[in-house]
Amino acid sequence: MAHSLSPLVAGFGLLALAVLGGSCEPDPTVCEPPSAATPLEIDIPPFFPPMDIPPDNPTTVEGVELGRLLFWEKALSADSTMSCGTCHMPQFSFAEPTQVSTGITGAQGTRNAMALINMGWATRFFWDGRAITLEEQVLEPIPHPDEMNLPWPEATARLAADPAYVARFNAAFGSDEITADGVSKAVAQFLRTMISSDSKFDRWRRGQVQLTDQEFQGYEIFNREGGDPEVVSGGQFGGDCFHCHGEAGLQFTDYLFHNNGLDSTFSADPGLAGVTGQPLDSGRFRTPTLRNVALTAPYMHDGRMQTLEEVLDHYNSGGVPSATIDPFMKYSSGGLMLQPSQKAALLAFLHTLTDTAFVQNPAFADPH
Amino acid sequence: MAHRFLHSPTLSLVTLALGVLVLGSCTPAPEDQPPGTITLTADFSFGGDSVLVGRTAVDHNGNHLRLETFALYLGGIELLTDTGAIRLSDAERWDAGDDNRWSYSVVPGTYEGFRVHLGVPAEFNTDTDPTIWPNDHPLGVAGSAGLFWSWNTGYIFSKFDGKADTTGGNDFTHPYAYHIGGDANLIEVRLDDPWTVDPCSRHGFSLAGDILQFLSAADAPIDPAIDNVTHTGDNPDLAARYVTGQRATVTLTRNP
Repeated sequence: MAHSLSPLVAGFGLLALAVLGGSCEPDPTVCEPPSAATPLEIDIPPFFPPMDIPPDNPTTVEGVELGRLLFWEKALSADSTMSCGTCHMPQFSFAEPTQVSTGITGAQGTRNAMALINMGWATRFFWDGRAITLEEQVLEPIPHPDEMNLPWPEATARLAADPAYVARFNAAFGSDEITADGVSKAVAQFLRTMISSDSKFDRWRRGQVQLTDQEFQGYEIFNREGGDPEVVSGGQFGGDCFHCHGEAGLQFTDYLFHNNGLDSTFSADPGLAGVTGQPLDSGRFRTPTLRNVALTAPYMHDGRMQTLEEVLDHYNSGGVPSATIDPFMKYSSGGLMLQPSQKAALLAFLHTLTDTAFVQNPAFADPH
Repeated sequence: MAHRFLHSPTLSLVTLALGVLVLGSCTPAPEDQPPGTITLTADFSFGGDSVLVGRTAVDHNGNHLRLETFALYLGGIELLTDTGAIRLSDAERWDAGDDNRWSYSVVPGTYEGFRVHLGVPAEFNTDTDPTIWPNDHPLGVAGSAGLFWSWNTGYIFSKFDGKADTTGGNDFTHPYAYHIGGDANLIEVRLDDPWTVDPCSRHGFSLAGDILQFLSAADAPIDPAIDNVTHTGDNPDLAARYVTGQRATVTLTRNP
């Protein structure tokens, strides 16, 4: 009797098993934020695409707050003089006005600091696309000897010695342990909240303001094919900007890599080819967004051009022929042939992409 | 006795539990039979070889062409029935170097045929905002990178560009670009061939075409030395000629 199972009990047991075992498995692609952290839903502006949030790094209030602190944390450089914000300055749309950045040792980089705008929609990072995710991108500058020069073990040890940071990591990720992975996730969360969507162009798209005649003319030139139709098949005397800086999702980048005809050889900087090893990728660099372009001088991957006028003159020239120059460049047909008034209109349009609310947003400012 | 057995609490619980097990499972099939599978492959070639970025080939005029981009949309992929069509996919994106193979579950039955479009169906093309799609969907902002320029021009149905040496040598400096879009240039590739899908059966369809033949089979054959650039809207005549070449040479077959 003691070893027999009551049929009634067995029935209940089977019922419980059925209810538990028969339920659907949780979706393994969706990670819930740590129970202590508060989920944060990022507001997607009108006409913007959905933002893909990595399943293993959901956005939370605590994570974003921590990321902001870390972004501006000078203790993450070897001599505690430099933070991410040192080279990504708000007034320059989180870029830097110097041609290349100088690290804490005085060493200079080889490329211009990219503006941090709408990073949550980017698909490759750095000028050469060597980082596939935002989290991966964040991991590089802190230990880089030419930048912040602080090995990750030391960086995390410094943070772990600060009880306030330990508490914040615990609140964000449910653990007292501070790791490079946790730092990158927090900073990436913060970067995803840095959304620019209030330029004059945005407000025009929302029907809130009018563009001037000159700005609208520039917009039309932006979206027209380049070249004299007598010389270039299908030319429309346009700026030919939209192929690479298209409006899809209002990001003004195609997220791809192009050789825009700056050089004839690429030994100084192979660009994407340095990552892929493919000769045809030589001289190809990521298309930067044109949002806030008026604030992000100097221009090009190496910061060689100081003004937007220089940039327009470069494209107007058609660029320097090479083995990998983009077919869209008008290098073989005399350039775009834009007249001064057309360039002025194009310039006026580019200025409509300036979003001062973004660069002055207190939520992105140094909290220390 | 039988009456009492039917009302046994134990038996009722067991029956209830079994019912929960059946009803609570995660795989309630919409149809009674397990589906069949259709796999679509698209094997485009470039001068008889596989399509690779950087590959070179000689066209019908002796131009030496180096391919830098070849990508296209396969849209409106549908099973044909005696009453209409069943949509399997709105759009897929073909890129050089990708697997370019897509599989779909199909309810068992008899179908009248199969069709694919080269391009994006009109209902998703111009005046449609790519942000309505998930970001990495073929028609989404990131998924369409390089194949969507703005809502003015809509999606680029197919994109073939690179550089040529029009003397037949290896000095690739002459650009060419055939970028096709616009509802009028949507090409239906159709196979009217009734067949039956049995439960758990597998079926394959193959799309094929050689890019160089898109140039040579055009109504008026295209010489990249002369007619080298169209983005459709700027040079609709050249785009239309290229489309006739595509239409004439792309084939769709059902694998045994």
